[in-house]
Amino acid sequence: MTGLFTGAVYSLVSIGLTIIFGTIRIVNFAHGEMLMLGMYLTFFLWSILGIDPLVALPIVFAVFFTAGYILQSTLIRPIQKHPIHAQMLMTLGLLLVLQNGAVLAWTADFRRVHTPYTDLTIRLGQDLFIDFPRMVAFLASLIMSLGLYIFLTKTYWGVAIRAVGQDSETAEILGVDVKRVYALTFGLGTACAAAAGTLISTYFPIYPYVGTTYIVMAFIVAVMGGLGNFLGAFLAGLVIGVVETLVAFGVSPLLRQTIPLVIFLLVLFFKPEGLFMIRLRK
Amino acid sequence: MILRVVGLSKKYGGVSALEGVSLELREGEVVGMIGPNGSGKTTLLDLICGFIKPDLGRIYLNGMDVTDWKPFKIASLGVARTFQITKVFKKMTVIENMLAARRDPDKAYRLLRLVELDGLRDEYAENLSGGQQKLLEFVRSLMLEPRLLLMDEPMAGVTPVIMERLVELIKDVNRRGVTFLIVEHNISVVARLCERCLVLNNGRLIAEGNLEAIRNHPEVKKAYLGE
Amino acid sequence: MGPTVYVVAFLLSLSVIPMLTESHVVIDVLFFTLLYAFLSTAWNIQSGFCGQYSVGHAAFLGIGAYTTAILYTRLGISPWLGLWVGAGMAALFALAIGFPTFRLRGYYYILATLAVAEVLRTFFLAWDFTGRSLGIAYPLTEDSFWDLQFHTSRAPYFYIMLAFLICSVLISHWIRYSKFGLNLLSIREDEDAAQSLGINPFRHKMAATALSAGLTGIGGALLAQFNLFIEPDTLMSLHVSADILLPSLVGGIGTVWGPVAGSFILQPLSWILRLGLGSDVIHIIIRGILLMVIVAIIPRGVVATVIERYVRPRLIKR
Repeated sequence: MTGLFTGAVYSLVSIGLTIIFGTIRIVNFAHGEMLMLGMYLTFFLWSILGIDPLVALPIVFAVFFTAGYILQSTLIRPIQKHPIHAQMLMTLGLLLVLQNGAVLAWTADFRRVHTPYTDLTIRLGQDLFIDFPRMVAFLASLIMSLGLYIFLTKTYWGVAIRAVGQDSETAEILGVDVKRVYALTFGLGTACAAAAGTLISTYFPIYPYVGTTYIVMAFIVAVMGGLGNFLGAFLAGLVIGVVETLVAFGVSPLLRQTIPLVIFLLVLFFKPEGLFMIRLRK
Repeated sequence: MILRVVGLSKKYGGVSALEGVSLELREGEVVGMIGPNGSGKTTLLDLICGFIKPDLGRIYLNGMDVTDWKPFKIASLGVARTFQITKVFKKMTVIENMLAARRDPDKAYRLLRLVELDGLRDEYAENLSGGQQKLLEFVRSLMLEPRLLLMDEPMAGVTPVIMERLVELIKDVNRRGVTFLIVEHNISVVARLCERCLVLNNGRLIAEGNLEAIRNHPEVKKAYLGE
Repeated sequence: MGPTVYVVAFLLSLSVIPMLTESHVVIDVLFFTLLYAFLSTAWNIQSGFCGQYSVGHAAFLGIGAYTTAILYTRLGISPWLGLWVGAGMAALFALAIGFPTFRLRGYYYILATLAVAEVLRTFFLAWDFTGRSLGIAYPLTEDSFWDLQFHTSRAPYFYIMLAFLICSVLISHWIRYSKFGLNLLSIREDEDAAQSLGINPFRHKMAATALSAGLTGIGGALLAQFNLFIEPDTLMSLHVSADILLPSLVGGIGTVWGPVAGSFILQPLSWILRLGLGSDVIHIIIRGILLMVIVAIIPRGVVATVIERYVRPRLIKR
């Protein structure tokens, strides 16, 4: 059960990653740091202003959407035409800067958010205990994923994003403001990560390196679902979440990171297009 | 050098790129391949060179079944290739491009002189003009003394001067016994170089013969002009 | 021969420095400068020459270090032998992961190298044999050449590293100007065109990565001997891999002298910042910024690009 909950969050984060890749064709190593920063923002909103994380969610989303938008226009756009290794190194640099900047600003101490429901568990039936915060995170993730899905399929900008992802030149000819789409996509993706951060802050400690943990998972999920494949990322996230939890409880807590990584490698080797490549294109 | 292709077919998704194509090349021939865009010409070259594997059919070089061979192995048999979009090694110098094929500086200089690129030998290939790059790609492919040279639209986007040069070069090289299969859109070039011509449309070989015969072929007319 | 002669001459001239100063700091900084020049030169063989960009080279570093350390601390085998075994293990590992990974293109390959390094790191963290998170600590001995430990003066470390660096530069040079090197460059530039010239990409990539990994492994062993303590987080994490590739990036990817030049720019800078600002973290930040800026503006390496634009045009006679 917990696996599903964790998985949904992974889904959310990696959806952000995958839409960025699908449209802009950049792998953003610093994606996890967005999550981390989202968590910090949530923390400060809570500790200073007393705002509950769930209430803070829209705020965080908006802030990071804007941040991502700006980030794309300033840092990312110049390197979009650069060779692949250059792009990856650039986002890697960003990762180092953000991560260590956080250490510098806020020290590496763990922070925690405490809400009335942080330690709440619900009991279902005889043996099933459900962690309330995780469940909330799960539901919120689902709702957000659904919202994103609707956005991507039913609204102008959503469709524009997908169009640019498929064929940016044609989209441009058809009058789509490609530059704005890029910025939008990046903003959206970043906001997803940050929002995920907000959600997990109800039960997970907040510290500068938390991004690394989640980014690894996000990559695994994104690749497994097929880079650029929204639905795939969603499903893969759930799968990985379950697997990870099973490993942690069944096999060994120490190998909790290793096994998913190994799965990642296996998928890369045998099916780099991802496991859930559904033909959405004509 | 004999090339024999039998019943080659390749599908992508549900679309047939090539269907049941068979052809034969005899030593010393210069054969042209024409057809509308998307008719499968490049796919055929890719298959022959080993870059993609056919769904059906076999490819024979010098009698050997090379259908499953990797491109570098096929190249080592004496098959050379130029590409539709020139594939010179951009961030390597002109001379390095040549030596990468074979470490024979004398031969490299001779070939470069042939196309007047010897003065630019220390220049990075990416700084060459489009036509110069085509010439470089051409002479680079000659470094390995190929028996068969497959060319994919060598005259595309090339100035008349360079085009003349290339035509002369192809004739020269052919006189020394190298067989050519040239994919081209430029019919006048095809007329000057090729005794024999193959016409592809929608992945099928629809006509074969000399240019005169082909010009009047009903299928060919249909392919190019529509009904 | 060109620039390599100058590089080697420069390096040789450094050998007088330990005779001129007693300062541990100077020698330590130089040691790390030489070490990262060495590691980056090794990285460059696979990534710069052959175009297989690895962001997981720390894995090879770790393998070399751990092999040497384990052989020494548990079996008493001299590091001088151990480092060759370490190199061999790293090379074998590289070959093993080469099989599946070289089929991948572009992004996927880079991600795979990252994943492999992380797998190895988390694995070493969990494995008893490698000491889990405690790592491996060396028993301290007297100054000993055979044990590769020197305490009264750090100079021997310096000389050993210098020797290895000069060797690696020579190897790099030899590769670059050989047919093998041209093949590697071709594969980097255009794998399909390289194939059409009869070059076997897979075999070449394997050779490049094995060599690259082996050399990196040696570097790992030497680092272990210097620190006399190794553990996965400081030895094998992402920012170590970043440190390995930065000198090449700054100096010039795909050149023989690039990694060396880059290291000589970065390492002293890094130490000055670290000492001046008193914080480890800040200088990682600065490294990150450097990475971003350089990559954004000059993807091929600062020094190399400068030479390209200003020096070369005067050298080419038309």
